[in-house]
Amino acid sequence: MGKISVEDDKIMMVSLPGKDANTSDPEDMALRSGFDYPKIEENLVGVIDYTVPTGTSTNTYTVATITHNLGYIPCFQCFVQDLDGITPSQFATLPLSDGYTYNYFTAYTTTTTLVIQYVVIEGGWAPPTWPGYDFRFKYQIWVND
Amino acid sequence: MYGAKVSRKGFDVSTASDKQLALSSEWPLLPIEAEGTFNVVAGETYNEVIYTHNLGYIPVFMYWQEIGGKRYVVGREFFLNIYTTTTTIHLNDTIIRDTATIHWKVFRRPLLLNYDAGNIISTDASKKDSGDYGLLVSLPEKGVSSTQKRDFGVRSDTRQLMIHKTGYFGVGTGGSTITHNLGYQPMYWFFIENSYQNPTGAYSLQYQADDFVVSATTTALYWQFYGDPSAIATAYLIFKDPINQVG
Repeated sequence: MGKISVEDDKIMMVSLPGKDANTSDPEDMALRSGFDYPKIEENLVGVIDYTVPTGTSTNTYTVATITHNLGYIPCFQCFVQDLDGITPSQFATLPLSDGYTYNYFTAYTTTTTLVIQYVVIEGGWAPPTWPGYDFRFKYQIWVND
Repeated sequence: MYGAKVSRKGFDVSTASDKQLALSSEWPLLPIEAEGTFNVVAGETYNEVIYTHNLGYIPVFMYWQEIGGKRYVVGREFFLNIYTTTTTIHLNDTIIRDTATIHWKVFRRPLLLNYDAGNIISTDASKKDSGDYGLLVSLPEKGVSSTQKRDFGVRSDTRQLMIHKTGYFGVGTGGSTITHNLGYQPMYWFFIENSYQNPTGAYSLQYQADDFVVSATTTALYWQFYGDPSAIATAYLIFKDPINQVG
């Protein structure tokens, strides 16, 4: 793979305000045929609340499993909100590590599902820093593979 | 006054809020310029070009890491050190932890661009599906009657990543407030120029840990870098899509 855009495809062109659709570069277009765009399935967008278990040791915990059944491994993105943080408006993209004790949130897609996980790597010497903390996850599964 | 807008399925295009649209000529989407894969082997060290894009500017990019049939967004636990320059995408990482396939996408969008689409309609419309809707734009050499949604560049029955605001901050800026006024806490991507690690002018995805924090309100994003910012510059994209609700 490599370049996938087809710039001489000019069947449909919608330019941004103040730009001429006939002469503008793709960067100045709102929509242009010949290009693929990230597309997100309407029914594969969601929000999940999760409370980190207390007393966790080395383990992998499933936060959520979302079935998509696309038959291929899709792209996706997943954000997390720390509802119990210093400020509840603090966000991050996954993967998110606590930075100290090797506890982290991660997410992956397979040909059928999106799985969000909470992983404790070294629970024996480094207890989780988030026991009982509440997190909110926003996920989007793309059509694109 | 002219233009084009297409609402998402279930929303009246005349009353739909900005985020209830599939697209509008008032703001850009993220066109994919190139995409591909790159295989890495555990235990190896890499310092090589993944792809030469030759766009002449630093483009927005994203990547995923597939390990044993599981595709992680960015990485399983940590980000890989992948950066873009004005000509290439580069992998520079030591002792790769997992044998994996990197899936990357380069977008036809300059990262270092100050842009603000503004807010046109902020109040959400009620959902009501009249069944009368639709825009399908098939990809080259694909039929518009295809039943595979990935055969289309844009479909109004899917969401697109609509750009609300982009911008950047120069070297030495350790944090800032970005006003968006969307009325909800929005999704975002952050990138960083890290001259401690990478060539000057190269940008990588920002790994959010304790030294880089982003918080959001319904009117602004706040970012703070807690390390020494003397070799750090930052760029961002804000999307017309909430980060903590379906929207």
